[in-house]
Amino acid sequence: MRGRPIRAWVIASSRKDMEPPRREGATVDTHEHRLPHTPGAATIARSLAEEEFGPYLSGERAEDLRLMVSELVTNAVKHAPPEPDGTIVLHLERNSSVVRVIVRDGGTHVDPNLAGFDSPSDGHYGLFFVDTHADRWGFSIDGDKGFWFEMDM
Amino acid sequence: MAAAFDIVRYGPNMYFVGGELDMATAPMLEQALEESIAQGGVILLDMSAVGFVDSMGIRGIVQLARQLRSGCIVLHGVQERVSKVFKLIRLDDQPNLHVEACAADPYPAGVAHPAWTPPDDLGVRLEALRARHQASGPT
Repeated sequence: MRGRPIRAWVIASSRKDMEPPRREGATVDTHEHRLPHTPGAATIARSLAEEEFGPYLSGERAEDLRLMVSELVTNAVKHAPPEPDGTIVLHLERNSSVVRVIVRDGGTHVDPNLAGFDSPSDGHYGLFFVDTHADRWGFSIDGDKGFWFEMDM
Repeated sequence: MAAAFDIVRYGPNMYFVGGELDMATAPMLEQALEESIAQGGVILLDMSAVGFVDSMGIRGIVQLARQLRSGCIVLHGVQERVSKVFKLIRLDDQPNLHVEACAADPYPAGVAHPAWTPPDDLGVRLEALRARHQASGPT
């Protein structure tokens, strides 16, 4: 099932070398999963992402993938309301060279408390881990809030 | 889906932890350690069966360590992939926390825990040992 594409890609990173999301290359594979807006969602999301993308990443990178998926789903559960149907959405997409993960929730804005990804000393390590491990990442605030990241294969 | 997490207490302040530490399971760890944290002392967590820890797992561990009035939490046997995450945020620098890894898998196939039954007077013996050797211990 093809989810509603996110239109506005806001690049958010402390890294100076950050690029916009990759557009070239046809999408090879795309899956959308609806997860419960509960603490158990992170476990489910990690399993789904690893099952889908694990074969395309090295063991170490697959671990990084699991960590980043866990962090985005945790933020959606802890800091945002669910979508109108009570779920959060895990969107997994792959083309010939890049895997992309999008986690959407029912929020309308990005919690400024989450934005401390370049100074994790305040205990918010989630986006710091995403910023450290993703090749590109960001979020959409076009009314259908979503955080995304990409990893090059 | 059930949370993949287990914890077994095998001494007054010793716990064997297994599975994944995240927003679903960190509260289980906090609950299991409640008694030891309230008492204080050196609290040992064998982490060799923990394959995943995210920011919520880290947060749980840090909060437990901060609640200690005396002593510390020692995470030992930490797996390479988990210790990579701990190093990234310098977990070792947090108050009352120490992270130790083994060079290799401490429990390769066939290595079992020795059969051991705690003596009924374990608490008394521990108190006596500390009383006897207090002078040579850390001050």
